[in-house]
Amino acid sequence: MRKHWKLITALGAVILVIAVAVVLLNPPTPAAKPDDPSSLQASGKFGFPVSGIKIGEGGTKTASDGKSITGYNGSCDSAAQAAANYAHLLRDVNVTTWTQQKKTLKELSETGPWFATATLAGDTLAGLKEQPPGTFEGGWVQRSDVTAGGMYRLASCEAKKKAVVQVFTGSLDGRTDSVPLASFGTVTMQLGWDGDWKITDAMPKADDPYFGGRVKDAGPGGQDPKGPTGAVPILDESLVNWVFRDKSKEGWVEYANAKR
Amino acid sequence: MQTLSASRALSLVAALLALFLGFGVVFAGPAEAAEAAEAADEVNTTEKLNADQLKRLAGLPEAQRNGIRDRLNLEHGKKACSNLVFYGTMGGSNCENTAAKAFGAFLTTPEQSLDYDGTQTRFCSGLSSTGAPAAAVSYCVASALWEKYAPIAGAVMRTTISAMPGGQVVLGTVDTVAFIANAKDGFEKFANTVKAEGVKSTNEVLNNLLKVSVFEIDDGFRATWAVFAGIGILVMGLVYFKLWKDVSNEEIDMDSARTSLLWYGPLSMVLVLFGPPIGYVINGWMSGLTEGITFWTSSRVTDFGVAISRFASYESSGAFGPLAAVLLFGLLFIAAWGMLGLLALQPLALYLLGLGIAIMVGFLIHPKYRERVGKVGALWLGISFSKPLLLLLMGAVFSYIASRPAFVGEGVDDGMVNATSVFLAAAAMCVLAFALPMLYKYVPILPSSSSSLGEGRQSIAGPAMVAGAGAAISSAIRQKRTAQVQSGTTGGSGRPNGGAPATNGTSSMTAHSEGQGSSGLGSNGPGISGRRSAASRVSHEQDSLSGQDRQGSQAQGRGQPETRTIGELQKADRAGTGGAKAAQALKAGAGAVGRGSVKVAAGGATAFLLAGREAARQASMRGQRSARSMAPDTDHISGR
Repeated sequence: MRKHWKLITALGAVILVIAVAVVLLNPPTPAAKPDDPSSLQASGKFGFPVSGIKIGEGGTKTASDGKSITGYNGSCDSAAQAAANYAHLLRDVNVTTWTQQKKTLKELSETGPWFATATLAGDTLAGLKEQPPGTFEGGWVQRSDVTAGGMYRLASCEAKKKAVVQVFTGSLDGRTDSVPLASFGTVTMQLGWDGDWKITDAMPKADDPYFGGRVKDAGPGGQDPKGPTGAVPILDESLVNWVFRDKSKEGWVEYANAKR
Repeated sequence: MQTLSASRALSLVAALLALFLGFGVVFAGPAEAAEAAEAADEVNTTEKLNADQLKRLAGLPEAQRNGIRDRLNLEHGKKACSNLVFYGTMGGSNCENTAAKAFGAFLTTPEQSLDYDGTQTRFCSGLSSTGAPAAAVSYCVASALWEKYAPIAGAVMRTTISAMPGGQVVLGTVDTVAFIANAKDGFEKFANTVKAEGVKSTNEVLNNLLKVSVFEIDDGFRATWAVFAGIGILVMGLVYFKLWKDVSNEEIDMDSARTSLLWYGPLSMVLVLFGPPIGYVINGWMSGLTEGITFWTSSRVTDFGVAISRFASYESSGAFGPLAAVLLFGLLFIAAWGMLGLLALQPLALYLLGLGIAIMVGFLIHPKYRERVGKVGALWLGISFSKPLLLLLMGAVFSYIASRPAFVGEGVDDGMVNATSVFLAAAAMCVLAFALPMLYKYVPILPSSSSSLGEGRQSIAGPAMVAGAGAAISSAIRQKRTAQVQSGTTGGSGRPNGGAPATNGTSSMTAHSEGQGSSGLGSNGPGISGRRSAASRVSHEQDSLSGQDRQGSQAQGRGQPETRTIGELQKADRAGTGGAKAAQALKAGAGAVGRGSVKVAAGGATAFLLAGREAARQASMRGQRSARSMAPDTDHISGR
């Protein structure tokens, strides 16, 4: 037996190495799994699933502003599309076209207490006699860029009834002291079916980030860590980590035509 | 055949390991790189004040803290108002001030202002309480979506803070104003340099005082302890021989021999095993003590830091000219480094003393040498206690200085007052750096009669801590002394010469460095640089002279080797390398069993600390001999 000690040691070492290798190589597999929601296709660039639906599609008509798409079929996918196509109405502020935007928003929604909140910024800015410094490219104060964010989360959905959707969008915000600053944020809205998807509630207040318990969290968001650059950056790994820094990544799905 | 297959198996294992490691590197590489990149991003976006800076911020005077808070809140306000929509709802021009007030409503300390994470709700209620337009309040409340009120970046915060009074103290930076604007000649430039260096290094020292190297009993120490304790056990074996020899010579009675064997033998083994844990516990108490005092001291140090940062703006006026600046700021410079050196040496001294104890642990079993171990242990305790003590003293001294008129309020615009304040600060730091170690004279390493190195002398380990790095100098001094003893001259006449090389050495060193400094600067002023370099040349000569002197004395010492005893030879060897020391310990133990090994082992571990002691001892011996030479010789009466 003594003659074989080297062999036994060697065997032991091999077993040890294999054990260590198994332990070390395994974790990536289970870690990767929870990120894959069952039904959706291959993962996107940042590990989110990519759906087949596109921003700017899904409807058959346009609203009175000539660009907001309406006429959805009532499916849950169409709710996600409608949310993406309506998001700019809740985010954009352009002092020159504000009246038209407010009118469109009225057409595509059921007014409620949320409506005053959603139109507060536009009403205030458009109502000013003297324009503050910092508007850009013809009266823009805030300009959403939905494809720059390009993700949605269906908090709940019943086809042709009701859906709560969060849309992650980019935005370019005017600054009083510099070129516009890019930011990313989440527009949360509740859609109701009334022959077409209509906004029935939106804009959770600062003290109610969970939208009355209807969403998991307020969603990702954050200003461009590079500071004001005048353009919305293309999302990258570090930006995704930055906007999701204390938020859950669960449930978020990329639109097929998101800017990446 | 057996070996062959075994070696083949081994090489297989090696190949597998290499493969596996290769995979590991390949897989781990990108992941780590990504993580590192992320970490870097994190730092860039959220870089805030570190713990030390926060500590100093906490210690600032209330008025300056409020100033910093208000300034930060204004910065928050600015950030919020740069949002166009918010600016519009706030009604324009007064936006920043109103927003700053709103932030001030809930960010009441600078720390809170620094920590503000962009939580909107409190800001909104702050807005409504400061009378902001209703539209702004409802806009604020309206949306949790976008980070309109995002916290300001760390870099902006730092810039903001550095512009405030006391801010540079917090950040640990000092912008020194040139002492003499448009310095014309080399000396004026030198004065500028000395001032800048003095203030900067003092500032650095103050910033680092509370965090410089801590002595920790870690794995490294344990491993080293094990080695030294091994030697200690060998020494113990030798001491056993010595013990029995002394018993058989009837120098020790059986009772104490029995105590030694039954109590101290096992005890020393226990100490060998549990020395590090015991040290760890004691060290833990001391760190706790230091921590407790640090908090109190840090605010005092900050006060003093505020005072020092005021030095940065001093300019030449009246009698406070370039020469005074060089001398006073130079003193400040030396004191600052002395202090830092003291704090930095403390862990080293603890480390070496700890190892000394490990070697000496064997002495515990011999009744004659037992107390030496106790003394070293006491010295270890004393040194580990010195840090909290220093911090306490520092707090007291600094709070006194910071309350001087020159440092209170706006200060005094008087050259002399400012000059004296620099002197006061430098002197206080000198006191802290060089006086505290004097306390160690109450913790003598060895009883005066236990070695023939000198009788009735004072033992001062403190200077050793400061001057400890000069082990080489000490060996030179020792050589010199040995030579003097052998040359047969009486102490009184021989001593002044003994002191001479040391003084020569230091003075020439300072002169030398000054000369270097100015000749470097003096490239613009040729005449002065010539003078300076001449001075440095003189100092070179002095240097080489003193060197020759030393060499001469060494030669003298070597000239009469036949008069040197074994003990003296060993003494001369003390400053040798560690390995030599260990070998020496064994050799000497085998040779001259008791005393020689005691000295070598003790000396080996504490040679470093003894360096300064030697100098002090020389002085005291000189005094005693001269005193003795006047007193009647009574040795023959007492029968010694």
